[in-house]
Amino acid sequence: MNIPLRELSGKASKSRMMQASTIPLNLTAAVSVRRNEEPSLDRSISSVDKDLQLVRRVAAGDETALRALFAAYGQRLFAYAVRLTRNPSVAEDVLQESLVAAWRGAARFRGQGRVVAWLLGIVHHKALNAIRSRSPVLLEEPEELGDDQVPLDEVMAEHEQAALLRVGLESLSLKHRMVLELVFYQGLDLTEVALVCDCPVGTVKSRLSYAKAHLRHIMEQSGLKAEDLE
Amino acid sequence: MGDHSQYIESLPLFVSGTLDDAQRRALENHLTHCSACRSEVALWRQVAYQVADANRNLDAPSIAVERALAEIRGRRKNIVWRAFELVRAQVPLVRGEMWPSSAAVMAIGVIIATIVKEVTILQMLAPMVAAASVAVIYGPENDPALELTLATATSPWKILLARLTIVFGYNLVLALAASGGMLLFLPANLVASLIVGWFGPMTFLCAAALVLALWVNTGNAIAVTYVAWLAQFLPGQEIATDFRLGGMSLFIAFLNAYRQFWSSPPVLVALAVGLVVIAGWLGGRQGQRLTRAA
Repeated sequence: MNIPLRELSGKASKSRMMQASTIPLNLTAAVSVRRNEEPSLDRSISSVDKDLQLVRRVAAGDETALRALFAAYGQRLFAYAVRLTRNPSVAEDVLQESLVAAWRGAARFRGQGRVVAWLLGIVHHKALNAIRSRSPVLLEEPEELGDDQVPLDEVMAEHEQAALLRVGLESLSLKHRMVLELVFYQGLDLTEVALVCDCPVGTVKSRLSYAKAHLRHIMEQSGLKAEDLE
Repeated sequence: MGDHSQYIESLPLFVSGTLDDAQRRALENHLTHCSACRSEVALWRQVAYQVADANRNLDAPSIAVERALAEIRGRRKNIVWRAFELVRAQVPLVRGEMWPSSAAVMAIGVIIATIVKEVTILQMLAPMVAAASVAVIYGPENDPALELTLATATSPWKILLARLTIVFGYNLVLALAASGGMLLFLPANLVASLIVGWFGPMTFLCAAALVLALWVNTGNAIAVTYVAWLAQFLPGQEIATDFRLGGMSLFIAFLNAYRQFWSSPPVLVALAVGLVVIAGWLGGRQGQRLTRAA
């Protein structure tokens, strides 16, 4: 089978995906519907320097610099907070607390990673605190997904693969979902994900591997084969 | 299969676009002949799409940054205001006689220095006046209302720091005013040297007096700091000659080093900061003792 390789790479197909409005069942669509404000991962030196300058200005008490950071990364931070807390109202509080924490901690930021990863780490910490104080049960591991736990009848009526996958993602535990979120929406590499989640890189890899196995299991329950996805 | 296991962990990063160019090219090459990896990539792309789709309509509420800034401003204002209030509340509790006596001694110093045209008098006097003032700012012997003060929610070290700020600040202003008066017959650069000459010793002597007052008592604190300060003005050469001291050169060398110490403002200020930290700790302990006794 000849696969158009540029189609396989998320990076290559981003601009097209930005315009996608429906779920692409043929899987030519992909990744980067993720950020309205950033069409691609911007790791250029000037961008890193600019962010670092903003953090330094925040440390010096410049309010416009905090606003600029919010303009650049607010949407991503809010999205991550919503994914973790599953509650936009709580996520808004988490975002506010995170911005205050970033203001207070800016002087300690030494540019040891990308600014966005640092900010996501703060949101991660604040969101977990919010979850612990409101509904600690969310932090617990879900039980293994049994055959009867997937509402397949409801699912089948919709686009089968996409809907199954949504069910699969929803049934993942918080720690697995957060890794998928950080890799696929936030565009972090494994080291950055490990920093945000405060765990070893090996744990990040094993969470990705678990998430994949879990999703495959759900697909296979409905009779879908891995080959069907291609 | 070796190739396959080598690449399998990179597939999510390939899909998310976070591999570098070399890794991406190698993986693309591998994908042309590995259907298992292609299948994995397809799954990850589905996942990526779903994750992105779920976040599609989430807009960050701009009110969050405004509320965060309001909270930051509130805290900042709070800290400054609370500090100001604390200092203001301690002003009436500082011993009343400190204000006129410090001012009077400094005024006499200015008059004498003006008459004899000798500014060293001011340089010598300013640290001594300040040290004596600081030695009486805290402790039951200097503050009959201390127990009452300690019964409030404010911690003893904050009370101590507030009083130190008031008394040191007052003496600093007095010394600056006195030095400013020297502009009448001295050029500005010499007045600046004069200020540099007393500022370091004043800071260190005040901190030392405070620690000694808390550790021993006020009287001893003043005596020890004065002796320590004035010892540098001893005429070393004459003493060594008159008393036929055996280790004369050693004594003179020590005296020179000692004078050098008092002429090193950065060292003196750094040591003063350390001493103030110790004083805070001593003040805290003393406060605990008093509240327990009460």
